[in-house]
Amino acid sequence: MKRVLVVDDEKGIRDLFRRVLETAGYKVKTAESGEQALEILEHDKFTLLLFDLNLPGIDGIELCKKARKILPISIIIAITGYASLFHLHDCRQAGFDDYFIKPVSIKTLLAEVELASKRIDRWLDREA
Amino acid sequence: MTYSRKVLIVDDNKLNLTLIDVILRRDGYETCLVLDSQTVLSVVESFAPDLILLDIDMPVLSGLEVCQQLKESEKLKDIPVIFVTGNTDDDIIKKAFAVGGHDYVRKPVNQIELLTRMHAVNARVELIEHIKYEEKLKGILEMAGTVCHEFNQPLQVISGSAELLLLESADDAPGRDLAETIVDQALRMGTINSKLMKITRYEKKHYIGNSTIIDLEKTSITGGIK
Repeated sequence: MKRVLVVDDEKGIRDLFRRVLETAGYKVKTAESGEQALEILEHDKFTLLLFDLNLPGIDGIELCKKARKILPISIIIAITGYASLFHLHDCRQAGFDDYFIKPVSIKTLLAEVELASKRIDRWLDREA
Repeated sequence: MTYSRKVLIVDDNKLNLTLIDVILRRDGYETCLVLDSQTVLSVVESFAPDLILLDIDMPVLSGLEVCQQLKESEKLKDIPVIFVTGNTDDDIIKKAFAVGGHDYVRKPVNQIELLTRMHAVNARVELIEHIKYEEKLKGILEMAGTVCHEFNQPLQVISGSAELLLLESADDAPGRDLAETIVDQALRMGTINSKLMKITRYEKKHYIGNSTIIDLEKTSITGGIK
């Protein structure tokens, strides 16, 4: 079963994404801060990571840089309420594979997650 | 740099007025001449000059008093004033700046000095306007960022929850049409917010009464809201 980590400081968003993704068959863990996410990443593996950018403490961009080192083969997507062109440039440099501006349609999100899963499968097959 | 084209010249001496008028017209300015200092305010309202050349020594109402009245008017206070004076005593010059004058020119008027000082004042006014514009734009961008960030979070929960309701309910379940409306409207609000994120300049449009609002059609790099 594909494992997804959702990091957002808003409980409403965490609960929503968890329910949507679990309904679609994914195993989901959530974290409300970058620090909490890094703790989870120390012992759990994920193929897909959804990060809010504006997080208390370590922000989404710093979290992405650290997560990318821990999980080189993974898809990391930014989902943010606001992003200027400068933010998006930083996202690209930090190693995000894609980004969405909230509110993102659930259908769009699920389609992207499905696509990401297939991309990860190809990498994992090659490794095996 | 573009310079102001409309100049109001105020002097109780007709010869002085004509002399300055000739200099300015030759340089491409549109001018309006006023002999009676008591009529300045009403003429300023109708002519709407970009700059005022104001004689100081005039009967009944001096140039200093006229300038003071202009600066007390919310509508007219930003029009730059250059005093024209034969009296360059320290005390007079000090008062000229104290009442809000931007500069002064000595009589008899020298063409080069007059035009150079006018250009310098206009350049300064344009710079101040540019700084004010930039400050206003910065405030708008910060506000737009805050609105996007704060509004898009709950919008995500509203639209996502309604969409989830649609995914989990039967095709003929009651209230599906209402859930669809919630999704559509929440995503529409998200589209408006995304226009706010793309504001690149400050332009306003008329709203109710005398109020104005930001014109999203003109300020967003992607054009109007669909």
